[in-house]
Amino acid sequence: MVGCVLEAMKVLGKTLVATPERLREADDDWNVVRRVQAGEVAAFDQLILKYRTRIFGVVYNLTSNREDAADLTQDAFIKAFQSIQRFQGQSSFFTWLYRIAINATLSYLRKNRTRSFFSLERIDESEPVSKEVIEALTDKTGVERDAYVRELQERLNEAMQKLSINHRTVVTLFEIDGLSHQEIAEIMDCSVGTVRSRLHYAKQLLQAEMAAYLR
Amino acid sequence: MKSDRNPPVSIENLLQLKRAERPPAGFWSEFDKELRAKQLVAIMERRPWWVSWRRLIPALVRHPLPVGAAAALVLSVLGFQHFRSGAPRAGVTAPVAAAEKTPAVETERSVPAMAAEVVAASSPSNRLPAAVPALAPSAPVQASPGTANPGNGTSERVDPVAALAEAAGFAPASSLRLVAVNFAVTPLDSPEAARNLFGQPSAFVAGNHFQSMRAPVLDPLARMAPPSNERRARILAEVVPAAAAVGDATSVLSDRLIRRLSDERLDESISRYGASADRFSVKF
Repeated sequence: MVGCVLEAMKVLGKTLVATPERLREADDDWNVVRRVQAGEVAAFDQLILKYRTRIFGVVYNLTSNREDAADLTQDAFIKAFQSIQRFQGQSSFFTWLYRIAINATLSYLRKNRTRSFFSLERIDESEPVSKEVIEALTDKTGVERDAYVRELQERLNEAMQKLSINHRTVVTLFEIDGLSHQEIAEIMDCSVGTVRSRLHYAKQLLQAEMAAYLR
Repeated sequence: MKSDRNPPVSIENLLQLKRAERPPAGFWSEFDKELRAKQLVAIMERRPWWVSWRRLIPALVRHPLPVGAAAALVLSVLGFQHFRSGAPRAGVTAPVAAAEKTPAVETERSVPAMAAEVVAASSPSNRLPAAVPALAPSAPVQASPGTANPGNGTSERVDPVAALAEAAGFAPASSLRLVAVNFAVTPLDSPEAARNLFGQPSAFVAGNHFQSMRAPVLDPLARMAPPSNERRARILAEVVPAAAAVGDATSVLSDRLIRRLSDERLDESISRYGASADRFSVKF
């Protein structure tokens, strides 16, 4: 019983505040940023290599379009590079970079609300979590399995696009990218309570949309 | 679908599938190429000046009260300085408008110097008021006859406009000086001048209100006696001893004689008239 409570508190604390790994990561980033600010422009490539996959993943899950996500990710890195002299280290670099990317993405989505062309990326089934989920959903193999997975992806993308921009952002940052409530609140410039409320509401909508795939 | 023996699948599990989505091979190399090109363009291009100012707007909006108070304070200080400097406004008289065309550095010069230049440039000599030379720096006005010492040249320079303003009970602001200069060099008798000065011709009667201000201003040529009067007075002094003794060349007798005798006749009769203390002789 006590062990369950401790485990629950651990999970709750992980969702509320940044983890020690994230804090260490922030310190490393700050060192690289100071090198860039001192004139070592090539050091910015380390930050690009470190965060390009995560930034692209967030932007892709918000836009559901690969080309748009690539452009917006590149623009986010360019803006960060141009503004890095003004970065004072008051927040972690990845929070600052996420904020730039998400603001650019939200601005883009507000300007292009009618866009409905989605692209699908291949699911990497070498990851144990995704493999377990797919095996739990279907026992098909081969081409039928691939068709089933693509259909599931399309339905999931449609359900995500039915969410509002803010709800989609919260779900993406928390469930897909694994950020804490506090980090999301910093990135979206809102309170932690707002983040929780949006997350709860967004999950309810997604569950209603994906009810056929849940058990 | 799988049988019910499999573990339950939640919405969180489905969302984890999205975490496993990966772009195709070769995507990141293309991504890096495009990013490098954009980075070079961003380094080369010159950002417009207002981009840095645009970043200040959110910070200003976040603190409206201090920003508004600071803006009001700055406007008040600027307005007060503008009022004190007495900068001439557009639409005043032509000489001031001409003075406004000069560079801003020249506005720091003394007003008498500006007035002298304006008078020299804009008014003909026959319209030159008597008060205007006194405004020029070459003709200083003395504060009082007692304090003046023209012999050694150490007379105290007194700004006539300041003296006038002090006498009228006003502060001798530079705007007042400009107004005085304008009045001095502008023919107020004309309705055009009144319109230039005040913009409303119907609201200003040039000949009544401001004529009194120009009363001491006289034409210097009008104040000079013609040379013929002096010559006649000298001749009459010889002809009429009583008038000469009095020394009044403008007596009734001399006036009558002047009216009767022309210059030619006076010249001819000089040798025929003689006068002494007790007699008067005429040669024929």
